[in-house]
Amino acid sequence: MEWLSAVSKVFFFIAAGGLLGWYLGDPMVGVTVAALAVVFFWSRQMWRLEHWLRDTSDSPPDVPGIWGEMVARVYRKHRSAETTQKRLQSTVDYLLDSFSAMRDGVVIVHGNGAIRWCNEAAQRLLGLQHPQDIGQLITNLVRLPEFNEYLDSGDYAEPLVFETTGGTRLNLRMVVTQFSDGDTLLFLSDVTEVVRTEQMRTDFVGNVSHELRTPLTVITGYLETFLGDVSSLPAPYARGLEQMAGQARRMESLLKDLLWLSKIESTEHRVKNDQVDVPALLVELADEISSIYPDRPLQLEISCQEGILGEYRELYSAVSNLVLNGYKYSGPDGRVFASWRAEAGCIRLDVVDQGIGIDPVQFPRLTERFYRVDESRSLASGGTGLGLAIVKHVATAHGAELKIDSKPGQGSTFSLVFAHTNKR
Amino acid sequence: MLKQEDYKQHISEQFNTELEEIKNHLLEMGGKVEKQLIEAVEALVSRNTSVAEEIISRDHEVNQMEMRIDDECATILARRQPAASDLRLVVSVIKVNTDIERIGDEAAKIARQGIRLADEGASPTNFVEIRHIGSHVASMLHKALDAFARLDMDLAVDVVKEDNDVDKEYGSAMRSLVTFMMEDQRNIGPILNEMWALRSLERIGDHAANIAEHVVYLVRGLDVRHQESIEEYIEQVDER
Repeated sequence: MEWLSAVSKVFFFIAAGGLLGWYLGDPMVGVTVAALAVVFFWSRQMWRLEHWLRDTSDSPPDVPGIWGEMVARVYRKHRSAETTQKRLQSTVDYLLDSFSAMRDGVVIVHGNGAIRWCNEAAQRLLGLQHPQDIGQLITNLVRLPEFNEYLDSGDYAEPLVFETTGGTRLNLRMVVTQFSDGDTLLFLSDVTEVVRTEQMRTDFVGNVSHELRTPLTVITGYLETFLGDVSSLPAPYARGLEQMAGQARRMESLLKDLLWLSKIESTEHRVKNDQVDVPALLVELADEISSIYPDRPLQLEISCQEGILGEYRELYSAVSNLVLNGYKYSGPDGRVFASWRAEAGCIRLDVVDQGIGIDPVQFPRLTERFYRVDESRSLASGGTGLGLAIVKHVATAHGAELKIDSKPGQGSTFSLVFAHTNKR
Repeated sequence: MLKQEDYKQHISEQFNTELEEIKNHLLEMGGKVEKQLIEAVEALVSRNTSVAEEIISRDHEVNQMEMRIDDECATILARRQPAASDLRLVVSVIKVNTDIERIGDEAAKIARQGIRLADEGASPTNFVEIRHIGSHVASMLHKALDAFARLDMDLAVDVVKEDNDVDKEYGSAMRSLVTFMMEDQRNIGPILNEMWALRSLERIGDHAANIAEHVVYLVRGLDVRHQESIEEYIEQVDER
């Protein structure tokens, strides 16, 4: 016990003073002098200690006894705290440095929407200024309706792609992560190039399809004229011309589908607000089918009279693609069913056939353009390979999900599942 | 000089939030109108009538926002009787609010001209002037709103000066359009519609400059409207 020995030393010293005083004549004077000496000594140590604690960067004072022990302990504690703090600071600096150096923009946003920190890339991408903009609401500086809505929604499952305003316009993709007490981390990457390339591709397909139609019309026009008078043609020519006409027709429907697809693609992100009466759509489709397959009517089962918000022509083309596929891929007497019914939280449209079915491994690739499960069969049926791609895009544009269920040899079910929020 | 933190100094927490709110709502509306403007010009140039119709149908949302902000400002004036910088904030929000709403109206007008121009077919000008002045004016509006958000007086002064450039561009665009009309009188119909759209853009430039002037008022308490040279005026005041 350091303390005990220090205190006993003091008492011993005072007692010795008293003894000396008693020997010299007055013990009280001796005790008082000794006590004063102790007080003076301790005050001096206290003063040195306090002086050092004010600025601990100096080396600790060389004080004797328990005071020296205390100084040493404080000094050790202080040193270890200092190193811990340095280590922490360097970790924080390191992390912020690595964020700063990132090519993607990073913004840390406080729970109330105020900017806490942003890196250089974010300053460039969003036009922020560091450090003046710290504490400003991010929505006051970015000022885009869709950006505000996205941040307000609290649903960050899907990243947001948006175009900035101001001098240079960029397409940005933003991923939002929430952490600790409602603070959010915004990751921004520049996707301007990607969006432009995608736009060019869509435009290109659209333009090429459009340009190819005119020459094709001339070719089919002449072919039809020649074939109108087959008897006057030499036999080998007639066969060749007929095949040419067949291929020209195929090419026409291909171009028609491609154009339609690029139109759907370009309007995919537009809000669709027309009320579509799906039961009436199915009835109209059944009428059309009865003129193509007179003895195989489309079996309808409408158990729900609700419509959805959308675009009639797009939905019609999607459903008719599904139904016609059903006919193409089932035997000459296979039946096709279409049903429209409400379920918990969604409305679904099912198209069921009793055809050849599809192997589930093929499902993910079915909606790719020009993908065919069985090349020879598709060519014979006159398909363009774009049908399901159209269905997929129409589904996405209407916030619906395309579900496929099938087994080889047991028919297939294609379903369009519309979220209930889509209806009025 | 007014600083960002000055709105956080009231004893009443509620008053702080009310002042913050009107500013946030105003900037939200500004962002919406800026987007309306950009889309209107794009719809006109690309002859996209469906986008143009959407823009026209969205104009009422801006009007709703304007009414709400005015209402909030009136409530603050009645309930808090603000003074000094708080009063300047409320007054400038009311003024900027009107300007932003007008810009929204002009954007809808541009969209309407877009529909008309799309119906009329090819244009001899290829909309070069509209494209150019449109992007210039949109960036002015963006800067004016930035200046408001950051209380940045220098940027605001820049915007006010930029309006002179827009006016000059507008003048030369008008002259070139007139030559198109003289060349071929069949052009007169479409060119007149283009002139209306340009006129709207020029008005938007004026409104953006007004917003910037209100920012100077908000930050410095100086009314710089109707001054020959805004910079000289500010210098004069500084010397006094």
